[in-house]
Amino acid sequence: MRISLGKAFRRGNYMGVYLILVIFIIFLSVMSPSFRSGRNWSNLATRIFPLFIVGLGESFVMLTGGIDISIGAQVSLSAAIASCIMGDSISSIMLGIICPLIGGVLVGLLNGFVVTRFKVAPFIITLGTMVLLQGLTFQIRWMPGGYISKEFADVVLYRLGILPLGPLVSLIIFGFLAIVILGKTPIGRNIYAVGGNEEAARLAGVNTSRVKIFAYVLCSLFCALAGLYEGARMQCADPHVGDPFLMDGIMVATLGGTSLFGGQGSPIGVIGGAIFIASLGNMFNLLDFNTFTQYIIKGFVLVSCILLSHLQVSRRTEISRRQV
Amino acid sequence: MTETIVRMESISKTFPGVKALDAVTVEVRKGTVHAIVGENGAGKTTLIKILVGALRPDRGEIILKGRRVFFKSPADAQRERISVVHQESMLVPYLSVAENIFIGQNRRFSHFGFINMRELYRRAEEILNSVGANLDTELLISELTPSEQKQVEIAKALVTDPEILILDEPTAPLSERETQALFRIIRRLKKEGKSIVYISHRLEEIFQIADLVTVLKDGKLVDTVFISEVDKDRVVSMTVGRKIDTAFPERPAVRTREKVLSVRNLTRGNMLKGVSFDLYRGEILGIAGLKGQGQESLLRAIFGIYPKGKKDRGEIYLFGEKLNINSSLQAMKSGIVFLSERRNEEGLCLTLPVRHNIALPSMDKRQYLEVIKWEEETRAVKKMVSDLKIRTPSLAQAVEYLSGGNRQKVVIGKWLLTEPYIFLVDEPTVGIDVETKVELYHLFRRLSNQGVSILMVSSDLIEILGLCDRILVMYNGRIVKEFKGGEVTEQEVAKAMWGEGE
Repeated sequence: MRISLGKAFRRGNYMGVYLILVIFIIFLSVMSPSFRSGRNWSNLATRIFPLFIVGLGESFVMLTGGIDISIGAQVSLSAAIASCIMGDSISSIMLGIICPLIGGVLVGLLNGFVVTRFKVAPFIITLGTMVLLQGLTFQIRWMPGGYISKEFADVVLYRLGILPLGPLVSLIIFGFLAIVILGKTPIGRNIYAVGGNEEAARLAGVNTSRVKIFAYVLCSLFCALAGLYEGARMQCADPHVGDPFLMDGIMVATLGGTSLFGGQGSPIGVIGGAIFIASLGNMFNLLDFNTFTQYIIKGFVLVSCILLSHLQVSRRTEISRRQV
Repeated sequence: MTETIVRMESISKTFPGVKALDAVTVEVRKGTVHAIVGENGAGKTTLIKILVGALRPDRGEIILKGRRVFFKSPADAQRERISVVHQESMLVPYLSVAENIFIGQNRRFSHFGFINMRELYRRAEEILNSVGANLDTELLISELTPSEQKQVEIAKALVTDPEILILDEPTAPLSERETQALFRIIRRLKKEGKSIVYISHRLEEIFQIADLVTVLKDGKLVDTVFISEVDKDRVVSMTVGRKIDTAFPERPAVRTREKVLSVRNLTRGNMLKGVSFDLYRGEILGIAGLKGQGQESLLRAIFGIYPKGKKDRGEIYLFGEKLNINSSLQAMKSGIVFLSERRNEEGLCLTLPVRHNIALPSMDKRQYLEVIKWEEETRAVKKMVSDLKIRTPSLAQAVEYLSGGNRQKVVIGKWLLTEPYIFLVDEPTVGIDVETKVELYHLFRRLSNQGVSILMVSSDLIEILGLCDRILVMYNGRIVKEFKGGEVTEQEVAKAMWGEGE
């Protein structure tokens, strides 16, 4: 059986990304002995979770046919807020977790509300939110610093020997949660329906605004989680920590088979996308690529993602046209 | 008789599943107004599209002034001085009147790559004057009324100085006075020796303006006659009499007279002008009419998705209680569902599985604490698939891979799971194969026997006559006639459809 990459993507699911992933990992293992080491695998595993959670959030928004450009800024803001509140007491740790999450919900509500109420293009409004949130982040933390509790970090990044149990368990929990929400709940079904055909969904009685707002809120909540995680990893907050997440998040979602036009995608694919982007970063470190080369390669990957996604859609319109 | 300017010789065109045109020959003469009439699906539009190069015929040829021509694109036809004013607006809303008139012709005004705007506006003014329109050329199209826009379209069509001007239902958005103004333009063009091909559903107009009329039926040419030699009755009878090859289900002998839905004096803008009728329990009520007489607006108004203007009036009662529906969700909750004619755009999420599509509107019924009861859903969807004989390899199949007929059944299935009282149906069999058509007719009858009331809009007269218990005829936003199903001839209904015998 011949496996074509294009076809794997066109099936509208996640076979494509896993195919690339397997090839890529084999390639890296052959190229770099240090890639094969247990320590590196463990390291890699801790990088997957934040990419996954941000990509997952973005994929919820993309499934409704929208896009959120402010994801990176949200990650930074969440870490910044946490670093200002968290101390060593249990109550301050709790507060330091809850406040960024509440902030995330508010940002999501804002994005979702403006998109649905004023019918503004999601790209533009979330671009605005991004700038706004960046400003806010610099207000509270203009350079790396602050404090993220060691106890909190120990729980989040819990390791059993070399095995990074904390990140892996989180990954599984949130992956499972997303699968259940998207596959087994009315709101999840409605997310697909709104992205698949908004007009049909509306006529079928779906409250399309509510569904979209839900997606934006969930996305922002996940970004806030990623901010907390990144904070815990560094045990301080960097106002630029979220910057790479904008591109990475969108790449994770698209690579994972989420259509830029809505209605198609799955959390399983997003996991694959996250592993791929994490490995890519890992490769940059191991093979000591300079920043410019990294950008070139990432840009190439992003463009390829979009082209593949487009391929999928143009084939679909062809089918619809063929069968009146 | 004047000379022939264009002759379309035994043109045939087949689309998947339908023979749209079958060896049709039409001759348009210089300096005449040539009307083309026929029911929907008779092949008028296809014929026009072939003449203007938008479609290529499978067989047959176009002979223009004695010379055989092949049009590969509308631009080719334009070069041969054939212009068309389409039914839908082809104007750019945020450009000015003058810019729209000369769209695509900018090169004429170019000086060293820059457009001489003053010259463009001056020429636009000239052309508008020549069609008797008094419009400010600097206004944006979006600032004009529909009839003014129509005038701009006609002016735009005249820019290339056509010998043949095709008007596809030009009077639909126009008032009586504006129609007369248009006719004056047509008469002037005719005097200048231009030929006009005129498509209209309004027989009245055709008898006012046309010299010849060609009647099409089922893609075949019935005849071309001089308007002075026929009367309206004759033309109507030429359009009817299609072969009936469908077995319709039998009508039940006994009927209840329980009113389910009452519509009173419903008015919506220009589309509905005081529509009143009753729908009884378990009946199939057909609304016949040529395309665009307000039928679709009526269904949408009942379903609550037709925007309501300030001047709009009228009431809708469900089981004697006044309904105030403003969204499809409210309609569904009241037991009213709507099968749209545009099933791909409004009925289906094409990329999603059959299961998902069928379950969508009734999901809330099968959930517990916001989680879908999977087995119950499987059972419900499976039952629909087998009841409606939806041919799909599995419930996980994306709807886009199903045929038109099966797609339609998926939409029907999704609505039936909401257990409606009233099923509003808009052109249910358009683009569907004959076999599935018959299945759908039997399905509608079965539903009506179970007590569901069906309000069916169709421009397929055969279907209306064969299936419906009662028939209302809509013309120009009004219900003009009511007939009892099974006791009326095609000719009688067709007459009402063409606005005769009011």
